[in-house]
Amino acid sequence: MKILLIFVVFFCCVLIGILIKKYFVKRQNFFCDLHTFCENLSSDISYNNEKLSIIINKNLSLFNADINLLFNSFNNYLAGQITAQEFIKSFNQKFYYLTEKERTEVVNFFINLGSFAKEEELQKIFNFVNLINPIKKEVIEKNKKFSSLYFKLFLFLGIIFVIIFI
Amino acid sequence: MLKNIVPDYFLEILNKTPIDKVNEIRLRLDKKAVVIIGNKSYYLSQNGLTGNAEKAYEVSKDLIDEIVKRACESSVYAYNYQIKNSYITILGGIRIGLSGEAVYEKGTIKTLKNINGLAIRLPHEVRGCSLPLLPYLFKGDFLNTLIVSPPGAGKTTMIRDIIYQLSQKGYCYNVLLCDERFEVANCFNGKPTLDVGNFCDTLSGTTKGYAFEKGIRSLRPDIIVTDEISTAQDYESIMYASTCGVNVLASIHAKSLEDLKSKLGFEILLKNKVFSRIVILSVKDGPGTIEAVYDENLRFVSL
Repeated sequence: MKILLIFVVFFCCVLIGILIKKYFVKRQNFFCDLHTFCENLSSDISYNNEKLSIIINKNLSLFNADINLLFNSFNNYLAGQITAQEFIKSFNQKFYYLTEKERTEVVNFFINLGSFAKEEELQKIFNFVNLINPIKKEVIEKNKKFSSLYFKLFLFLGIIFVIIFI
Repeated sequence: MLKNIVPDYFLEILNKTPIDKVNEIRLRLDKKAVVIIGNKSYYLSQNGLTGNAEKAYEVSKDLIDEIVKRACESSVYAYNYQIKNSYITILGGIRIGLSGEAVYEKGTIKTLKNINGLAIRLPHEVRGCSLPLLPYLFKGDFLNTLIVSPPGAGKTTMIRDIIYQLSQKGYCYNVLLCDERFEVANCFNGKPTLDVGNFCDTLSGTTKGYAFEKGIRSLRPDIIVTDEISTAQDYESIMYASTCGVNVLASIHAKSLEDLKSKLGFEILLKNKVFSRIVILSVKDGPGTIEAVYDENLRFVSL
């Protein structure tokens, strides 16, 4: 019974370490993918004048599963299958690892996509990219510094706990 | 097709009207919604058509913005060329005329903003409407023909049916259609959504000048078709086609022959007798009523 409890605590420590690592990795993936998507978007609008739904579908296969959830949801919104409120609610639920401010900025960007003439649209995309660039740099740095560190820390804590109590 | 562009709450109201007979829906910001059937206007209310302005549905900015966004498939930037020319054409040949504020840059119009009015024109394919006219458009070969009518009198429907009937009646003419505003064939992803027969090539979204010059060279048409000629450049393009040995079918806005004669710049075509047939349409007995047919000397050709 004692050994079982010790190993449960060990696995909990490891799990916490994994979850924290995953948090940093998810944030990095999200902002890197979003940045790349905005570049593709800008390019498709500038040179091909492609419609949004076509651009979104083209990008579906290019990125991680997480951001594809956003694209699928946005596609449903564009097709009129869900309302703006439903899109926002679903976004807030799925992307819990973003701060409230980040979620608001991203959602506002997507909701307003496609509403402007070409030059204004490209300017809006440019402004959004400038907004997320510092966040992207920060999350890459934090992932590099802390994700492995926290995982190792909690793994180490787990091992120490096992050693002390076993 | 209307359900793709109109929000559900407004579609419910429209479905209470005889929508298959509606020619046009007029929505003006903060004014009452109006529906045009034939040549009569009716107010639109929550319960359908009404003559009472008090009961009519008032158009909000949200409704106009929503229709424009949906018409552009949430990609307004992709429709900028159309928007700055004050229209959007969508699948099914529905043309939405826009009113609003023009935005200029370096002397040319960049776009329209603050859109405050929509004129939604619903096309009606009327098979066979050109059959009474067809015998007059031939003298051995197809004659250069001009369809003349005021707005809403069926020019585009007539032209579309002429092109269709040419292929159905065994005339294997190569037809080149210059569909500048996507209204005649309404190509979507390159495919005509309105039937223009088996022998028609379509150049959509292009100017008449480009279509006439490049199309004649590359597609070897027997007949070139264009809707709504109005500028000196359009008249020059027609002259160019007629000197290339290509027959022309075109349409123009005018109420009558006298109106046509007074059109600025049009005299070059009259003087050179480019059109051997001039067909006058009206809405007297509904859109597409054939009032008269004239020859190149402006003599009445008996019907």
